[in-house]
Amino acid sequence: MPDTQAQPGGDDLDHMIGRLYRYALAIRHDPAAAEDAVHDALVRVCEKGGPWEEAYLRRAVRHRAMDSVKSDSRRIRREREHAPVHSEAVLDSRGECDADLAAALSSLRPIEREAIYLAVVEGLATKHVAAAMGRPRGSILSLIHRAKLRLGQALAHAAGNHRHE
Amino acid sequence: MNEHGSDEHEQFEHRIREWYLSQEPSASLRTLAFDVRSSRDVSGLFRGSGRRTLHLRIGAFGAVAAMIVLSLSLIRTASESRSHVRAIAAEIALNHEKHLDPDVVIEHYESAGGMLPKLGFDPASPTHPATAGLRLAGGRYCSIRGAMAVQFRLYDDAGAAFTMYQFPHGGAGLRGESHIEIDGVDVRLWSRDGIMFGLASDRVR
Repeated sequence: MPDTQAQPGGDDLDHMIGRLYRYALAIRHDPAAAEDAVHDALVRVCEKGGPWEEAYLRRAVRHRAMDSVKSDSRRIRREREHAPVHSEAVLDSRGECDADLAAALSSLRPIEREAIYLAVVEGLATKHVAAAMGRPRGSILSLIHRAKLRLGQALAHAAGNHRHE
Repeated sequence: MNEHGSDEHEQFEHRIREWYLSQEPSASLRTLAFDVRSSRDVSGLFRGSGRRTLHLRIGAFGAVAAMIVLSLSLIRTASESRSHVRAIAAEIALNHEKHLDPDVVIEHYESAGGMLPKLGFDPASPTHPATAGLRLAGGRYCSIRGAMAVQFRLYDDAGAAFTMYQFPHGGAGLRGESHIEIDGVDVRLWSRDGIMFGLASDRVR
């Protein structure tokens, strides 16, 4: 787990921005929206004069990302005729990308991706994932279990499609 | 879980980790982060830690107070202005690189206020030479430095896309015009009648 108290220097800041971005990406699954969330959180923390700590910034990023999930849901309900940008198309354009996994992740709910990200990528213990997400440990365990099942099914389905091609 | 299942599970998690770790933020976001951090370094001195002794705190506050007194005449110096302007330009470059489509079709800048009523200000037609010959295609809401702004999409004769940002701004920190290139994005900033204009493109115009 990263040191959340240290004042970030050049490389530390760079790595921290990467982690914050990936955390936001886990929630939003859309690079532009993830950058918006990190960007808004940085600006807000700067305006408030800090603290410049990863744990605080992480909460700010989560707050922004979740807010944008809600506002996007409302907007999409209102404007169904305007199809949103398909996340995988955007994600595929950046870096090395496992398109099947990207598509499978897009089928999960934001909180499922968030739980998977914190547990699998950040390596947090379930109790820390629960604390970060403000949910009971038991519900996080079942959330992660269900999310992994759905991911596995989606990947198996994609693999089956590839075999038939 | 048997050994085979455990291996599969580990590979599955490894695949997720690899995917996320291959995702990187844009250079513009990193630039913005460095700019934002540099603009708050002084405030960090005021944030005491539990381990800091009283003498150290008094010393730190004294040093900061002396620095503030000495700096009074230099408040809003050119370097501070440059940092502020650069932060705005970095944000504009970041937004430009997203190439977000306009939400509404707008043919005239003057009509944008009616099409985007939540702006709270009336966008103006830019008279800057850099905008000459650019065709207005549409606009959308956005924010710059946390304030509501409008983002216009423009095209030149060759079909190259430009984005223009307008937001209310007293012109503080900006004297005349700024021309900055950030991560390959060309950003021009100027202000007129309380509105700051920012024009971003992928190439030097």
